[in-house]
Amino acid sequence: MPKYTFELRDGSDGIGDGSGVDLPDRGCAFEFAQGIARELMSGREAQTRFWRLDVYENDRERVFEIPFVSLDHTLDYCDPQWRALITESCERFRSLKEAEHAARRTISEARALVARSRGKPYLATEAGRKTIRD
Amino acid sequence: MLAHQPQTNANVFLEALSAPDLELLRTHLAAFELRPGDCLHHFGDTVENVVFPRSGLVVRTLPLGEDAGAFMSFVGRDGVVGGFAAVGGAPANCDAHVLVSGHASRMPASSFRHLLDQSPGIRRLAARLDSAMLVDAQQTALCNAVHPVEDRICRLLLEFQDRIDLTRVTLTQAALAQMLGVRRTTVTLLVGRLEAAGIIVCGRGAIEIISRRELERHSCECYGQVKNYARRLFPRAAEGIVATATGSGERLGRITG
Repeated sequence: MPKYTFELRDGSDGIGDGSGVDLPDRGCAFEFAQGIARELMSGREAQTRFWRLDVYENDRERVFEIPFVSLDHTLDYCDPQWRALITESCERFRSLKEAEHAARRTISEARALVARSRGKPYLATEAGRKTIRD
Repeated sequence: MLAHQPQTNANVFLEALSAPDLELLRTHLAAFELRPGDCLHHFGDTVENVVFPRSGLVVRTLPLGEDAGAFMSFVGRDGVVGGFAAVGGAPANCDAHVLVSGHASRMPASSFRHLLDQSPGIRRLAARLDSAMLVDAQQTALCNAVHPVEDRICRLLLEFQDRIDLTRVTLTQAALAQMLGVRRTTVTLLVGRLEAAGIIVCGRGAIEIISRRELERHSCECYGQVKNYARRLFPRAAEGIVATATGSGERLGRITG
């Protein structure tokens, strides 16, 4: 039975579920992933509709991408054209946030590298992650 | 004859009793050990004993077919197990299992009912405790209906820590998922978000709370609502629990040179 793992793209580095779930086939995996997305979004649709859940099969191939905006029932009143516009905006917004997050990490890393080269103190880890990536 | 002189002043209910009322209860109380996995009663059982935890943690659940029960609430030294049903001689209204080991005092339900008839003070206090439980149940129903799962996870962690006085919450992600009624993967992803924000650290079978302040900020309003209501009913005891919880340290990023 294939194993499916999930990565939440929320504008940061991405949050992974390493252990995964064994499911019979891709159809089941798709429904399961939709269920996860709905649970993650429930109660805060406006704040999370730019998120995306990526689904991987056997830790190798990305088989699905589930944009949360596609499951956002609070947008059901929108006509298709308006909804398409919101969907595209969410995709761009998430990409922008991920780029911003990556830039901030790079700045932190650069500062730490400079400080280390000068023998000065620097923040080695932040929230459990090494500032200077290996 | 007393089998044991329990430390009655560590349970909120017992601590709030007047000296004469405490003496009335003391003659019926016996020491009781809470062992993880022990079942205090099942839904529908006749409640034989009323348990006053002094440490440790009991979890109340509702039976749900063949699955593990749906989570209702935690009870630690802030509450009483079996008292609600014992008052009216009613069957138990939930399953109650010990989650974290501890010490407790217990007395026969029949004796508790008799003392309620005897003492208006005990009756009033029991009514206050029942009111607090009802508010908790109402708030949880609202919370489950409208609040995001991430906020509910934060609330659960805070309520666990309030009763255990440790920064280490010994709940697996699977147990959290079952309590919240969601998929385990959902909990893993949300716990990952809290970890990335530096609020918690996940280990095997446990979650370490790093920043209680941030955890409270990320929790829904339900946590504060229930705590404030309990504080009004039991001011001295609520202060004790809050003081312990906010005494946990804040861990900073590691700085090296």
